[in-house]
Amino acid sequence: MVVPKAFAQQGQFAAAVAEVEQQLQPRVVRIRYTLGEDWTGDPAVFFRITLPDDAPRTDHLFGTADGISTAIEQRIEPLEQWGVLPYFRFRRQSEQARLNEPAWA
Amino acid sequence: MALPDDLLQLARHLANLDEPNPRQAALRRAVSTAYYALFHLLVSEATLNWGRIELRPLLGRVFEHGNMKTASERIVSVFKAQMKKGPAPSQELAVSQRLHVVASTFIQAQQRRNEADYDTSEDWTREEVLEQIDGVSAAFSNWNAIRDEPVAQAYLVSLLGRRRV
Repeated sequence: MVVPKAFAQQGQFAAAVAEVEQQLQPRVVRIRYTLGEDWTGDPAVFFRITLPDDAPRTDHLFGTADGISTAIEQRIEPLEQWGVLPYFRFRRQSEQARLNEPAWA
Repeated sequence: MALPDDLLQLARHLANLDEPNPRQAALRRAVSTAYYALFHLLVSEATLNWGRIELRPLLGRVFEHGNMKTASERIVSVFKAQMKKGPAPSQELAVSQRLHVVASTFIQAQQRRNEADYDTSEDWTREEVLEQIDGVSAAFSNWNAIRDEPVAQAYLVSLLGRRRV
């Protein structure tokens, strides 16, 4: 079985995400992620993206020309370059401040 | 109102319960219900093509979540490959873009449904859930705009399962 590049080269993958995080500021506050498997067992990356409170409500939706998900997919190419299917969850900065979940910090 | 629309409306209702302090149970059911709204939209659209009306519910039971995910991944891959070539705006591209929205949203919603139903390690927020429902709602709109296009109808067939060569 071939190990996806994102798992085999975790440092490089982290650097690629950090670079995109920087490029997308101030539209995103931070990008966190976990490598794992989705419900079908396919290798996956689960992005947790914190947005500023004043971010447009539809900014993350697929089909939005310059949406955050689309931008991340285009710049990192998680599946094509790293072998992991991307999943996205979004949260506002104030929500995260209230919940204070370490996985999003 | 048809079942998919009812489910979408129910998802929004669940997400807005108990203001200002929503219960996790309601938010999780909202996420799950939003996925099933899209699932049933696609299944009902596919089975509409079956001539014998009384057998459509039975045909609907043939669809499997995993196969539908695989078929949706194919749509996403084809669209990405298409976009890499920098195509000029066209009606065909617009249809592909709308279909990509439907397929991408299906994949994301399906995974979230699984997390909402089984993974209790993280809480959901109302805003996050409402945005998820907005996403599914946008997928409905995109689907309605292309439902009669040949590529959309081919997608419905592909949802049934693996293509044999």
